[in-house]
This record gives sequence, C-alpha cells and structure tokens, in this order.
Amino acid sequence: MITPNRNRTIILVLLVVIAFLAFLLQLTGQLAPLQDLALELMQPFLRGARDTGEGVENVAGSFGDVPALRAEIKRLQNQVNALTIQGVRVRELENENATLRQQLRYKQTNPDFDLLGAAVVERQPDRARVIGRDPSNLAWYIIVDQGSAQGVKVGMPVVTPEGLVGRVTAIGTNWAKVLLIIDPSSSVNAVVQSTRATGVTQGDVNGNLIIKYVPQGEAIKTGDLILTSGMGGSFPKRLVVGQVTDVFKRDIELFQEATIKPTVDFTRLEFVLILKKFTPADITLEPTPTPTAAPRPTRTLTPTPTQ
Amino acid sequence: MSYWFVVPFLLLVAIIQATLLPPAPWFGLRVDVPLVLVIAWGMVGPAWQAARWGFILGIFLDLASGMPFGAQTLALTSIGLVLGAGQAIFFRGNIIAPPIATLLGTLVYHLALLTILAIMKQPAQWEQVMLRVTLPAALLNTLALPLVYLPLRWFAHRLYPQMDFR
Repeated sequence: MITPNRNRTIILVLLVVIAFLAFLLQLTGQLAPLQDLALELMQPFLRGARDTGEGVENVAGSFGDVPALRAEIKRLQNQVNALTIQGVRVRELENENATLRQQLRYKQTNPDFDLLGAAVVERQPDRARVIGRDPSNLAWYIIVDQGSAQGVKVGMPVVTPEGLVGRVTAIGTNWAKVLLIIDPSSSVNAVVQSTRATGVTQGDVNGNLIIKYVPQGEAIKTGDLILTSGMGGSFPKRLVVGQVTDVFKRDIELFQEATIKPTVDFTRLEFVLILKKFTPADITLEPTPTPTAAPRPTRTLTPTPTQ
Repeated sequence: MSYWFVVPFLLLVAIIQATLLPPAPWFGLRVDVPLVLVIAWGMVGPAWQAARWGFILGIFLDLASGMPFGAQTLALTSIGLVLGAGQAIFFRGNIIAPPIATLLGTLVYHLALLTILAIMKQPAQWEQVMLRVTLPAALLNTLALPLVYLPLRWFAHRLYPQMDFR
C-alpha cells in the first residue's frame, strides 16, 4: 500500500522529472507552442502590472515640485539627445565625405572598375512596448508586445532613437524576447567612430559594455563614440552603441579593451523600435588599402539569428 | 492550502518580479522574491510544500525569462526539496537558520542557473557573477528575508496551528 508520505515523495520526484523534461523539450523546440500560449495568456497580466506600476509612479510623482523638475529634466535630456544625435550625424557626414573622396580617388585610379555607391540603412521600424524584464539578476532580456503577428522575426535588431538596444531571440504571436546588448551572451561587431578601428562589444554581469579585440596598433581614447560596424549582417551599420569611458591597454596583450557607457538607459526602457528590414553593410564599399576587390551591389534582407 | 489560492498568488509574485520590482538602491540588483519566498515557506510551511511552490514559481519565471526554459523551475524546485528534507531537523525554531538558508540558497540558485547556462554553451562569467552578482544578491536577499519570512510565519501559524512554531 502507498502511504501518504511515499505518495508525496513520488509527486515531488515527478515535479523534478517534469521540470527536467520541460528543459529537454525546450532544447528540441517542442515546447514553443505551449510556451507561446502560456505567455500569451500572461501578457494581459504583465501589461496590467506594468500600467499599475506606471500609475502609482505617476501619482507618487505628483507631490510638490516633482512634475516641474521632471519636465525640465525631460526637456534637457531631449536637448542632450538631440545634440548628441546631431553631433554624431555631423561627424558621420564628415567621415562619409572623406570616405567618398577616397572612393572617388579609388575610382579615378581604377577607371576600368564599375562602382556603385549605396545608402546602407533602410529602416522600417515598428514601435514596441516593453512589458517585462528578465526576472533573474543574471540575464538581461526584455519582453515586448510585438510578435510574429506583426512580422517580427528572430534576429531582428531592436533600437531606440538613443542607440542600439539588442536583438530579438524568441517570438510568440504577440510578444518577443529581446536580448539586450549588455547581456554577457551578446556580441556586436563595432567600430570606433573617429579611427574606424574595429572590435566586438560584449556585455558584462554588471550591465556594462566592453569593446574587445581592438588591435593594439589602433588608437582608441576616452570619449570616442562606438558604432555598429554592420559586419556580419546582424545589425545595420552606424547605430550608436555608446561612448568609451576607460581604455585598458597592456603591451603583452594582442588586443586592447575599453569599457563603454551605452547611450541607451536600459533600466528605463519603455518603447523600442524593431528593425524589420534593413540593408546590410557591404564591407567591400569600405576604403581598402589595395585596389583588388570590386564592390558587390547592395541587397535588402531580413536579418537571421546569429550568436 | 488550496491551489486555487496558491497558484494565483505565485503568479502575482512572478509578475511583480518581472515587471514592477525595481533594483534595490546601492546594490543595483533586484531582490529574488520568488527564491526568498520558497526558502521562507520551506522553513515555516508544511514539509515538501516549498518544492511545489518552487515548481509553480519556476514555470511562471521561465515564461518571462530569456534563459533556457526549465532553468528556474529546476533550480527553485531543487531548493524547495532540500529545504523540505531538512526542515524538521535543522530549521524549525532555529533563529539562525533562516538567514543562513537564504545565503546558501542564493548561492545554490545562482550556481544552478550558471551551470545550466554553461551546459547550453552560453557565456557564463563565473568569477564575475559570483563576486558582483551572487554575493551582493545573497546579502540583499538575506536583508529582505524578514519582510517575507515574518508574514509567512504568521500566516503558517494561523493556517496550520497544529505545527510546532517555536
């Protein structure tokens, strides 16, 4: 006869087995429909909780001079953002001008080449609302309220006007999970705006960003802006990632590293933009030291998931 | 206790953890409320119930998490199981046991999640995580423990008056 205690133990062992099975099914992708359904059902609660939180926050903020100060901060923040973006644009135009001049010289020295100049980034963004964050302190994800029904696909870049946010890693009908660039498992090919030195940005456990694999010979200094390089095709070119705050250079290392302050405030994300389509960077259009490679024509594609 | 009450309550806890809970000042981390809840209930509630709470909470958290599905469920259920097994021997009526269990529970929880990330071949910065996330989180969770433990203890006392709550 099964005693109540034995019965209880069997149930508990079953729970662990089910948890393990869920883990295995997730690995094979068979859990996705169930997961989608469950998160779909949870979404109104997540949104409701978020709205409630915002409501409480707004009520609490209405005491004293807080609203006026908040408006002033917002106005100044907008001004800073606008100026930052303007500065980036001006520097980008200068760089583009220099690049075009270099390409013109390249063309003049290679009159037999048939060259085609092209704009790189074509954005068709959707506005998505952040409805949840990763509940653990170990991972940096957000959940947004746009999914496959709105044409979102895994791998699509996510941005705000301030800069790059991350990329979509999982989708449901009306939701998507976005891996933030500050997560340790996120890597983004990047370029230092002033010197065009390339590297890879990676997140760390504190929610900071580090640019790695910058060759020792390249100049990188505090205050430099870091942009996406577009290499690999996962992200468009020239999205702002952040600004260098510290440089770590040791003669015995092959590469140098630098910490970056992201331009996006990941703790205050509310709305993000999903890039549904963009023209990937064509690295053959970058100035090259030897006139050997002919540039390929640009093409439009939907991003594919990459690690 | 009726699961008609427990499941919505645990769903609410998971939703609050995923949406409303802000990072604690100075720490820059959020209290792991579900973990603290499982640990606290493991010490004041009936034996083995914590594992069930851990299982239910884990499922809800996995839905909202970007980590592999099942990771939080496995970690929280295991912690609930261990607490349920040791409850009668170590925890009941022992005033030092709750903070120690929370400290150790946070370590085990993070180690379990990191191990799963490593199995999934995702970058797990063990040293950095242990120093900068796990240890501060263990301290933070221990500081937050009374806020969860005392109401649960009172609740368990009323719900199960026959149990020994020294």
